[in-house]
Amino acid sequence: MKTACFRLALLGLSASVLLGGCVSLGNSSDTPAAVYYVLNDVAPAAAPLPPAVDTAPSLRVLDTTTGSFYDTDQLVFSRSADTRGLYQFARWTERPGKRFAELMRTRLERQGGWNVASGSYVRADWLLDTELVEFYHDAASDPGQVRLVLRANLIDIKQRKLLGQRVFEQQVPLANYDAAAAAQASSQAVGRVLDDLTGWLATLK
Amino acid sequence: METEGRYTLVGALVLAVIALMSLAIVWLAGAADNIAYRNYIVYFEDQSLDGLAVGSPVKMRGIKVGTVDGYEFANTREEAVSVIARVDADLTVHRGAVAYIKRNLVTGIAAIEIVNGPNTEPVLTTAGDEEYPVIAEGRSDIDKVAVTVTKLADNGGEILDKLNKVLSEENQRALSQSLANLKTLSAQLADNKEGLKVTLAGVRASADEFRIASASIRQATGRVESSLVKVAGNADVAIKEAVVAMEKLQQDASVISASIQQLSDTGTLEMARLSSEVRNSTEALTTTGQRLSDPRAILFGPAQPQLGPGEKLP
Repeated sequence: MKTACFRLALLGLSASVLLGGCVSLGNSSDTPAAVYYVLNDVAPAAAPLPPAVDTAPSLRVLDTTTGSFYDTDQLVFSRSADTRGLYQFARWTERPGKRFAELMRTRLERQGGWNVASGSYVRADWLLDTELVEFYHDAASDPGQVRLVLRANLIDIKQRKLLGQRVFEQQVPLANYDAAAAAQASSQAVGRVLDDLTGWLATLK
Repeated sequence: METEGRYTLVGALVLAVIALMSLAIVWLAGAADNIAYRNYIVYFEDQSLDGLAVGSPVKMRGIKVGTVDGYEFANTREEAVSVIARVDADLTVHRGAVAYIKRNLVTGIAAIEIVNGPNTEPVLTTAGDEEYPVIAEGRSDIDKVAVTVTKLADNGGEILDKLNKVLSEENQRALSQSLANLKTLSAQLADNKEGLKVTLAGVRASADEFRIASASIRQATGRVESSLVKVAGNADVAIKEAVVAMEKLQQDASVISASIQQLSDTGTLEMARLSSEVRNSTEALTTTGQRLSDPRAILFGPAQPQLGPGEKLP
């Protein structure tokens, strides 16, 4: 008796699966494909400097942290001051926090004067800790602007002393009211913030 | 001419007679004595002057050098007799000279014996109110003997007193008791004569055994010394081998430590890389989770309000 019931239920489930493949849920196949944008450091081209000498202070650059909402590969926009939204068909190739840290290390190494370290197994004199507080397309107006807010802390590891703390903010207007312009403006904002950051670090060295 | 010659002879004779008469007068007045002798005073306080008289000789080292000119009791000193000795003026008496009575034991005739002072001392002269130089009273040999005998007698008396004290009745009883104890002890020793012999034999045997033991100890010491030398040699070799082993162990430990350090460093790097890969995997899972968090968008696409700036649905 039990075996007969089990066989009947299995037959019904198989039929449902087969019939489900014949059902159309709409025209989702026409949905536009997502576009992946690369976040870059749009900075004036400079001649590469010689590598830092051994006497230069070593600086460990931690990965940039972000808020949980910004910790996504989707571009973020804001149509009003208190709301945030995600682009549905525009994505970053890497999450903004991790990508920003890589761009920051590259900029410091290219600028020279620092022995930049990223791994924890390398001893360093100073520690640079950054947090991406805001990074979105302010779409309250057309075409809007990209707003980037970065908080940076410079710490002396040996003396466990805070050497300096500063918040950098940049707003770059968009050329168009779309995701591509937002990505381009985001790269420009990143370049300007890195300009400000390296200038600030030079004053503390 | 012959008459003038007689006058000269007579005048010469007269002058000779006058000179002789002058010499006689001086001699008679005693001036000659003053020139030939010199007087000294001796005050005798301790010695008897029995047998001494005026004219008694004054001697020095047994030779008569003068005589006693007189004596009398002195007023300035109690029971002292001052004797004036007339001494030959050629004799020089020095300071420190003493005089004593020297008496013949047979005849009892006394004389004064002067013992002169050292030649280094100045000549004795008159001092103070004295009329003549004063020679101090000395002590005769007989007096010295008498003093010695007196002292001997006094010491003998003291010795006899001490002997009396030693030989008191109490000490005699104690001495008698000691003698009795000695007698008892000797009797006991005599009774234990055999025991003493046995004891002495035991002592002799012990001495022999001690001598044998000493020899054995000496031999054992020699053997121990030779053994110690061998042990020291073996220990030296063992220590050298241990040093070599420890050096090798230290080298091995260094190699192992370096290997462990390298392994640790490699492990740290591997862990860091693994951590990075885990973080990437987590991010991928998070992204997938975010995609799956909106099943409607997966099945039917995003809603119109969800679209971003510039995004349009077909």
